[in-house]
Amino acid sequence: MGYPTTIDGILGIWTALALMLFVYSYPLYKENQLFRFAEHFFIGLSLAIAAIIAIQTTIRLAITPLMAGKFYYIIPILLGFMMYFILHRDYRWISRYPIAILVGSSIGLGMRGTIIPNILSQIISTITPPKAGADALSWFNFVYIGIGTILAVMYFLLTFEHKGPLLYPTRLGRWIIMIGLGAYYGNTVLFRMAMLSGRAQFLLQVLGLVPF
Amino acid sequence: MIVAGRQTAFVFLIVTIALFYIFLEMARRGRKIPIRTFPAIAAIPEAIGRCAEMGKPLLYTSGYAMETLSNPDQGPQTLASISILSHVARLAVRAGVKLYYFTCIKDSLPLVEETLRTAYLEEGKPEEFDPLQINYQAGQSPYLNAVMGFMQRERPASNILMGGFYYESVVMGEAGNTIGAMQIAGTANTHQMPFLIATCDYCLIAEELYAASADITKDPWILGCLRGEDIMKLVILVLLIVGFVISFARVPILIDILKR
Repeated sequence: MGYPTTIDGILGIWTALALMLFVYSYPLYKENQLFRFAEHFFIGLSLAIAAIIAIQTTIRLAITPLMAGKFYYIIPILLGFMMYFILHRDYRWISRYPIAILVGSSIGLGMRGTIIPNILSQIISTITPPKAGADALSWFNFVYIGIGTILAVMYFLLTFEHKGPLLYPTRLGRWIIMIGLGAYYGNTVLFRMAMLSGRAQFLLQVLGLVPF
Repeated sequence: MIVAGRQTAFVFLIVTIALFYIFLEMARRGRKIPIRTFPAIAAIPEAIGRCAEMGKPLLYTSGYAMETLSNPDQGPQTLASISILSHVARLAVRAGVKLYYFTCIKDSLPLVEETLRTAYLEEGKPEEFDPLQINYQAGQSPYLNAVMGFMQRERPASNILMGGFYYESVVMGEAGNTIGAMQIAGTANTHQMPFLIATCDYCLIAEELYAASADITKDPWILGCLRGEDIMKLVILVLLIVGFVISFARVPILIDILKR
């Protein structure tokens, strides 16, 4: 993709650059009129896009099948309309039914995929030893993950006070968790730096200092 | 007939449901279920007191949480956050502190509104409730922008960030730090915990968020479920310890059972 040549393309990248700089003025300087403009512009634009997507989705997923003769699609459409009663003080209670159905069915669907991947597979991975002839590092990782998992699970015993026999294991468990979270932190900092360099690259591309 | 490869999962599900039911019944019949103390919850009155002393508002937000209550990982976090909100709102109303709530979770709005309305009603100040205290923005980034703008303009003395946070956690935590606000946070999203721990004064990590809401509400249903969950964790601990020890002798019996 080369540097845009059409008017709307050029206008687009310069608008994007200006808005990006307006947003960066907040951390680099302080809250100001330009940031406030970018903030409100962004919120308004996102709301408009969300509204359009919602309308298009309703047409694609509900209205079109209904018009094609799938009359049972009237049920989700009615449930969707019931949500709007949230805006009426006296009939707000009607909106609770679609919300209850939405939350309940989603939790039911979610439970289906919880036990095997989140519990059993995790236990199996933790207690599966390295293959025969594995090096010392693989064994170290196995022992560290095994003991770390046991101690971290102990830390999350919530209806037991961390006293007596639980005092030291849970304290160690907290350390293990903090080490893990520290690694997460470092990893994400690197990712955010990559995002920042992406923005810097965009700035230079718009200014024509590096090719698009 | 249970499909091969799902038999152990089925047993786990039945045992978990049975444990939940047993402890739920015990809690309902008045059996006291203890719960660990959480410094983050104990610090909430201090955060509200700070707002009252400084004459500044309190900011409360529940995070992005995939913008819906119906996500099985994020929805419960939002619900736990709303339970904590009810406690925070009552304390804030009592202390005369204005609470501002920010969210992008559309289907949580009726719950939030009722929670805040009830808090004002219970504290005898229903006329002070203003629905405009609840700010809704569609989408993660607009919501984040709005919170940041609010922080800079209104300079809340304390921020409470509880719920299913995503990348907004670090930006909000940092923005709150910049204005010198006292910050209490909590999330069960592992990928965001480091940022909340680094930027906030107190933090609830993972399931502590749910336990904290149970601690505040003293709801026997939630307490019973928590106890049942803890017993299930003890079962998992036993499996882990036994499995870990026998794995050195390369005895795969437990792995085989778990894979059934």
